[in-house]
Amino acid sequence: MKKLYSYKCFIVFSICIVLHCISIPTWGQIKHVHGTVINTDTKGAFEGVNVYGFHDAAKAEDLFRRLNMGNIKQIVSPDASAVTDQLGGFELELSRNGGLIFYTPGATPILRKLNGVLQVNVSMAGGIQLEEVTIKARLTKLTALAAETTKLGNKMYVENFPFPILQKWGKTNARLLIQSFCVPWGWRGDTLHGRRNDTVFMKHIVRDGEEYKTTQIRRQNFEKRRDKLLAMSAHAPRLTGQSDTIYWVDSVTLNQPEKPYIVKAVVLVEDYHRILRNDTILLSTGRSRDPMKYLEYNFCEALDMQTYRMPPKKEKRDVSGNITLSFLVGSSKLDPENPNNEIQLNKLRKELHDIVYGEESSLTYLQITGVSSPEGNYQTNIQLGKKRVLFARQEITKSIPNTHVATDAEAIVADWGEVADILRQDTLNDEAQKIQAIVDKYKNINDQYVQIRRLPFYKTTINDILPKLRTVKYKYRYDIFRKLTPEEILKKYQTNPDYHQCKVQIPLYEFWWLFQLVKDKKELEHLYKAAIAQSTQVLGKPGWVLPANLLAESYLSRDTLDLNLLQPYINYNIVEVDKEVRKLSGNGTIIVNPRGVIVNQIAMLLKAHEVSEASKLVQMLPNDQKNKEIKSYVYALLGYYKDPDYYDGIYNVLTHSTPLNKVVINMAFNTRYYDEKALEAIEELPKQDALAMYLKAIVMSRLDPNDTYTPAITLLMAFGKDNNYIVKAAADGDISDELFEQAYGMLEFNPQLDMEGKIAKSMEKIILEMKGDLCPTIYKQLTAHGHAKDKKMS
Amino acid sequence: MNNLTQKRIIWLFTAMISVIVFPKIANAQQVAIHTDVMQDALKIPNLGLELYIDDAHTVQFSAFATSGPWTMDMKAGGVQATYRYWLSGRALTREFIGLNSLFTTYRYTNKSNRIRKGDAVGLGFAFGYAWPLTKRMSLTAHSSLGVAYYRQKEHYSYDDITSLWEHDQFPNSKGLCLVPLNFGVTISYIIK
Repeated sequence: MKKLYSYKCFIVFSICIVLHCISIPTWGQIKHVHGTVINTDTKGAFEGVNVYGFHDAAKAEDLFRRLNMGNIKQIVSPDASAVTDQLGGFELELSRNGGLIFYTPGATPILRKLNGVLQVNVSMAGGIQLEEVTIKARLTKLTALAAETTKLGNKMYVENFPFPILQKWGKTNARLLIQSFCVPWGWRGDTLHGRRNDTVFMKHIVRDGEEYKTTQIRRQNFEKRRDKLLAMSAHAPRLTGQSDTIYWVDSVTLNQPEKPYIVKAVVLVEDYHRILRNDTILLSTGRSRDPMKYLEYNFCEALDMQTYRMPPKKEKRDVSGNITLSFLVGSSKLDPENPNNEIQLNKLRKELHDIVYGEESSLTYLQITGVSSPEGNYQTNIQLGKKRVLFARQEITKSIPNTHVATDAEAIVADWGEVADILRQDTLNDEAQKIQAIVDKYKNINDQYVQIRRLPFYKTTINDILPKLRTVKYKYRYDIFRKLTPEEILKKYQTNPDYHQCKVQIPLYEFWWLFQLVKDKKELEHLYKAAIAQSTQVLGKPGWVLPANLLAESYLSRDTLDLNLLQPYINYNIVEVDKEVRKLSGNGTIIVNPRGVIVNQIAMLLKAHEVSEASKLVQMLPNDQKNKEIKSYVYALLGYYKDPDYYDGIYNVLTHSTPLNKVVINMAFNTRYYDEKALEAIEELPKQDALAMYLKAIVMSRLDPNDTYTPAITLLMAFGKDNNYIVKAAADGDISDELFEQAYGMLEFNPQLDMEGKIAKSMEKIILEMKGDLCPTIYKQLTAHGHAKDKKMS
Repeated sequence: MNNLTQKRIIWLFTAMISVIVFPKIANAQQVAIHTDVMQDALKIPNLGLELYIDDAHTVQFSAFATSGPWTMDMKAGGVQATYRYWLSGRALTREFIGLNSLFTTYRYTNKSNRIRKGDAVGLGFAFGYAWPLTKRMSLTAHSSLGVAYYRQKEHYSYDDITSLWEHDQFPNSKGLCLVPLNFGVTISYIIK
């Protein structure tokens, strides 16, 4: 009994132990974790840093990855969290195998796995905290702020743009108006002033003092709508005598996205009487981070030639001829003894038969005229002629089915003048002259016959000529598809200058063959253009899509853009590609939005940096494997690579496309995690490539902002390979002033990097043109040196 | 100054004010009613209209009447017209300067039973400061200093003056004096 009891106790105890073990989380023992966060910018304690603790280090890694992607909306709930105090300290309870994430907006997040360590001290870059310091210092003069501008396609995004409102601007009876705008600038003359026509205005900010607002409402007769600015400032904070900072987010569509843009603002302060302040200040030197501009893509899709083939042109043809049939005298029957009758009839029958039964021809009209010789009574001859012509028609049309061919039969009597003509042809001029004299003298044909019959040579000569006049004339009209062979078309193109220059009307069918036969690209483009113009005339607008798409392909191959070329062939109301739609006439179908046209238009739009417009078209493409690549590129350029729904697709496609794209997409995230990946990917690029060196310099400077030496050397090597990268670097937000200065400074001590002095000259030129907005220290030195030089010269 | 001259002065003054003010009143954009709270506190009920001529110019008309503020033996009534130029450029906001005119009739007995009964016409320089309190309400501190011409009958209460009146010797006191034509704190409300 005792044994049984102890056995039971053992089982119960074991179950309890098991249950207890299950209840303990797999991540192990909870410990008190503490540490300090240091701000590397201020070298002091970093207050306000969020510390997220996870019992499972994998979860911490997951969050770290999301934060690196810039996606802070979907933070997973941490198991423990804390915020660093004034001394930068934090404390929380966490598993000894857990992980910590240190995060504050504007700074690069940091991941620390505990691995049993219970005290964690980290250093973080202050990032956005710097702005608060700026405000506390009470600015009296505005300088350009390190505003983060990001360019995606033709859109520039300004995020958390800090705009300080100085204390001196504040008055309760004043209005502050800030109108910021972007101006593209270049290095050829227009410099920082930009061009007025290309100015893009951003949202304006209005701040009214309390008194100003009250009196302004009165002034507008209590209708706020009459003053748009008043309506805008209605819910905004009031202008006071205190300094403040406005943060705003804006996006602007740039006219020339390929150019760097500077962001300026006009600050106006007015009271009731006058403008107290009118300053134009520079907010951002336009050195935005845009590694995506180096993305490689090349889309081009041809249309199926057979699908868009033009049928041969239908042409009308008139044919006329004579056959001489000998009839029995005074009868409407053919002379059976003359074999020529049957031969001639059969020849005509065959002609008509071929037309009627030919695949590409059809008989539309047949006219038969029976001609009688003029001897005898005229009326009798006419009657006889009619009988003969009806007989002839019957004989001719025997082989033609009873179709709707319009036929016409007519009987005429040859005149004696024709007899005179035949005599002349037989060189019997005297006889011909005598007959002509009778014809001229007697107008009545019967009288003519009486006189001519009396002539001595009537029986000997004229009688033999008369059968020649007894003929049957025919005339027929038929439609035929004139179909030249490719060889004939090419020969015509090569031999006929007008045809070659497309100065004559060329059937679309022949254009179709020429597109395939002509090899010279320039000539082909000329043909495409002519075909588009001609098809518009023949088919109406928009015309034939094939030459337009071929021309687009040709343009894309040589980086030429014409956004209006394919636009007419796109129907935005049908959000599908290759959609077959029944023609309005009801006969057959047409293909709306051919895939080739859509793809090529997207390619052109991307090259023109019209990414938002391309995004409309890309939605027409179905979500299948075929379109995955093009969609990934467009979405990447739109900035969707940070979106978790798109991340996998875009990241995988781009990293597996080209080595350069792998670097670019990693750099686009602008986080340490992906920068490290980008640095690895750069190794796959050609070592001596200027772009590879340039990107390497950027990534290295990002990874270690304190080390400017190695990136500067790499940057100078890139400059040495390609001088154009100096300009690019000056406009690149990833190249800091310090890095640029370091690179410039190193030229003096490393003359081998710039043997001809070109790099130094170009850098100096840009620094001078930027008038102190780029490397102000060097600018001062250069200008001072310039003044000294001038004085010396004078 | 004989009676004829006095009448001429009054007519001339009225005509001048009319010429200046009436065309502007016709174009008034806004109208505010106002009352002087200091006078009200002194049991001198008053009410006025302030007409906006443009952003910086207003004209004001007000009337008052009283039958003895507090323990004073006084009866008075009068009208005032003021033209104001607002230095801030916005009416009823901040500083103003202007011209103030006054016509009043009164009867006042002081502690030594000296009675003054008569009329006065004044023209003075006005100035003040206004605070816009809300969209429609403003508070104005104002004052006016000017020259007043008065004519009054002045006597003690126990004097027998019936015979003087009969002999057409009323008024027995007249003259010009430098006086504050008004001062006070006004609350205005824009009604239109």
